[in-house]
Amino acid sequence: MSADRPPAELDQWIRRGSAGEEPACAALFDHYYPQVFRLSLGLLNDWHDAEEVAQDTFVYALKNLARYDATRSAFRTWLFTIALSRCRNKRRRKFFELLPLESLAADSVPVPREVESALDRRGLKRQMWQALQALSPQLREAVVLRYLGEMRFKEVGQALGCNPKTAESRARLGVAAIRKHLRGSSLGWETALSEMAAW
Amino acid sequence: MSWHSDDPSLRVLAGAVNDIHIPTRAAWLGVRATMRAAVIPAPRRFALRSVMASVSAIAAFFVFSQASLINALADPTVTAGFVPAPQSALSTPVASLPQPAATMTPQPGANVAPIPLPPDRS
Repeated sequence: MSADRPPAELDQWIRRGSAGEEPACAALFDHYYPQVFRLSLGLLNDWHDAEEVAQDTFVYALKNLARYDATRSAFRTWLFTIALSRCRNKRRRKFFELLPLESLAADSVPVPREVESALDRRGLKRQMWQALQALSPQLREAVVLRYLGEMRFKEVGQALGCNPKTAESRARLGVAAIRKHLRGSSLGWETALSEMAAW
Repeated sequence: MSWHSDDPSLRVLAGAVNDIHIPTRAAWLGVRATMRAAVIPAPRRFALRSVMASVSAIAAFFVFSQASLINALADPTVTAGFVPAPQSALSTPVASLPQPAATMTPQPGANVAPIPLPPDRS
């Protein structure tokens, strides 16, 4: 199932959920939680922080379902915008936390165990994930929304509060930076691509 | 051609991230519990918070006072001047203590000294 195609029952879930019906809220949660979680994980690179942000996003969204305006954006874009704002807050609060010196080096970005094993299953190297995490927050947001969130540039622009062209430009700059990072790594861009072609 | 096929590396990375198993059950229970707590009407929530604050304050005071008492007893400089009461006084039964006089009113015909009058100045 494509992540960007809303389920047929979405309107009904939203209507019933905003009236306080728990099964409708549960259905919305089951459908969208994994997507919100993956987006948060891509932005924060921390399993527990991503869980916290995703849960917090749903608590807010389900309590404020009546405020969702379907004419302004897709439901998923609305959810992602809430999650994005919480990820930014979380990142800001973590800014002053102490980090080990090794983690400042781009090559040693810690990769969550679950992400590492998923990359292994796909025959991908951890450098791919590290290259994504090494991006500036602005570029990473655009790349994560576009590729991990599978959003169109118009939706990325809505979530980031910029126009689609700016969103596209940020995503392309992010991809170029990832390529550059991989060229500098021991893996090499060509090796990465050949591994992906084999998949 | 898919709209996101412009970069195979990130397409595959997205696929890998989609492979990750995400436990949803515990997360949903957490969200549901928070939602239910949030729908308690405000006055009740306020009352609950007040009760919790009072209980916490009493508990904190109790713990603090116990800790102070224990510290005081353990401190030899505090207990050095304490002289215990004699054992005999403490162990004397109340019934055997000297009783006060039964009455203080003078009996009729008792020898009571007359009160001297002031001298007559006229």
